[in-house]
Amino acid sequence: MKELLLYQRGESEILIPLYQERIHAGFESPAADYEEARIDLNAYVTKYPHATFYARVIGDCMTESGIFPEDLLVVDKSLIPTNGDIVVGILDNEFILRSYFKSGNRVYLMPDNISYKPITCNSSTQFEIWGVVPYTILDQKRRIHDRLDRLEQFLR
Amino acid sequence: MSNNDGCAISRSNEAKEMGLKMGTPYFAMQAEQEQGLIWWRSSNYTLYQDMMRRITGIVKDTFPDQEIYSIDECYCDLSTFKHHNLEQIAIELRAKILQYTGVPVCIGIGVSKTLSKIANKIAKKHHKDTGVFFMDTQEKIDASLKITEIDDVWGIGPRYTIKLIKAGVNTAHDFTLLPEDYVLKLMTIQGRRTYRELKGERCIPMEYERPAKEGISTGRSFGKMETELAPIEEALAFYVANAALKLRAQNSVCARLFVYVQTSLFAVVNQKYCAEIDIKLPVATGDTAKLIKEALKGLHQIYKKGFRYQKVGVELRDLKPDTQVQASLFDPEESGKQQKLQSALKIIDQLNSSYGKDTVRYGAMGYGKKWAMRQEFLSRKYTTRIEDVIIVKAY
Repeated sequence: MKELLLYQRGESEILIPLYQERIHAGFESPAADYEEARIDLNAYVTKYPHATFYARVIGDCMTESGIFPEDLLVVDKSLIPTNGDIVVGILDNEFILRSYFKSGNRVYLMPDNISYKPITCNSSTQFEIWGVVPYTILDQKRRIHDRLDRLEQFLR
Repeated sequence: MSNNDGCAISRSNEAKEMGLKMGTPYFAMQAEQEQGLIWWRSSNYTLYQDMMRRITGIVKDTFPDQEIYSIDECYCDLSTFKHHNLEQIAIELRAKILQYTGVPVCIGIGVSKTLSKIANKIAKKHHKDTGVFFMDTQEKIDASLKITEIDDVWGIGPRYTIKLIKAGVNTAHDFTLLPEDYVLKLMTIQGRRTYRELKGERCIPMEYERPAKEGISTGRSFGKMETELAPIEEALAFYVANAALKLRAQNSVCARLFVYVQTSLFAVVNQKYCAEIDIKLPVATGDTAKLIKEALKGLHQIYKKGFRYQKVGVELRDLKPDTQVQASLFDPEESGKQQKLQSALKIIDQLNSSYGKDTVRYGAMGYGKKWAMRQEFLSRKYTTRIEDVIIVKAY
């Protein structure tokens, strides 16, 4: 017996029910035929869910890129870093967050905050790229006090 | 480590090089662990299951006809790829899995499932660079079977291994040289199937859909021996809830419950006790509350004070599709209740899957989980819990 395909299940976790609870015998909503899947942030930030991992940031060396402590990173291991990408790498058995910068034969792991120094990758550094960070999630509520300070200064 | 952190189960290559064997008990490794020479972790099934889901998902993008066979193995039917360079595709797939997940896998390609399993072992042992072995010629098959011990062949258990070695069969190759009717006589139809598979005939079909389970059983050893009824009741309620979840996930109900308790196998004779009880339910159900109630009733009948129990377990039996339960069809009030119950159970299952197991629980399951298996060295659930994600240093 062939199964009847009611909807195609995509990669997203969100499905729209065909019928919610029971069907009322009344005037059917004319909008029912126009129902679409709700916007799914997962689909927007993950190109390839099987290769996507999430990570939490500690430290402030990437603040100029808008990445603050406690922010959540989307890490995609299917991407190959291009110059300027933000990457998660493994250095001395620890995950680190930097920007990938290649100049000539040299590969640098660059902070995006002038109070930090670049790391030069050479044959003696035990470094590997773990994944590329295509999106980050910044908690605007947590940044509210800093913002209030700036706003007050602005008006002064 | 095994359940309860008892012994080594899976070892890294480095640990294997140190001579660490599977089954090495905890205490025999303690000195090395204290010196910082080895690290160990409790079994983190949640993480393994998610990594498996990722890997099989990546495999499926390349080879869509897939059967997931176990937590770390899957079979793919490649008959539609006849005119492709299979070896090259497999090498690329293996590299992709390594990059996307960090997990090194091996791919073995053969004419039958049994041969592909042997090819996989050979890939793991002799083709570490690519992780792939394509058994595409008779010469390769013969050479592979010659270096495969008979007990490493899929489908040949320890009992037949002894018989076969006695008959002078040491390798898979020796086995294929036996006359077919001799194999049939010695090992019945199952053995002949393995024999034919080794000879390049496809006898074991792909199982794309797992057949609905005939019985669902859960039960584990306690972290320590339990003597009182209360912790055993809690553990049993937990196992029933787990089993009931699986039951509902396959849209079944069950009509019978089987409950057992046992002391350690190593207990001295007069301290040994094991008992079981088969409970017939008045109406087949998938309702956790009813199942827990009946299971506990059963436990009370078989529990005896004075023993040190090691394990309690439950099996749900006589499973049938939930659509077959129509006892209350003609009683509208009862049927309304049933519908409410069904939607409540559905919501409980959804909550527990979104917010973590046992978010909504039954009173009988208690809170302490003091009886639970020891997992002192559990790694985090990096990929399924937002509070457990990896930490990345930005300093």
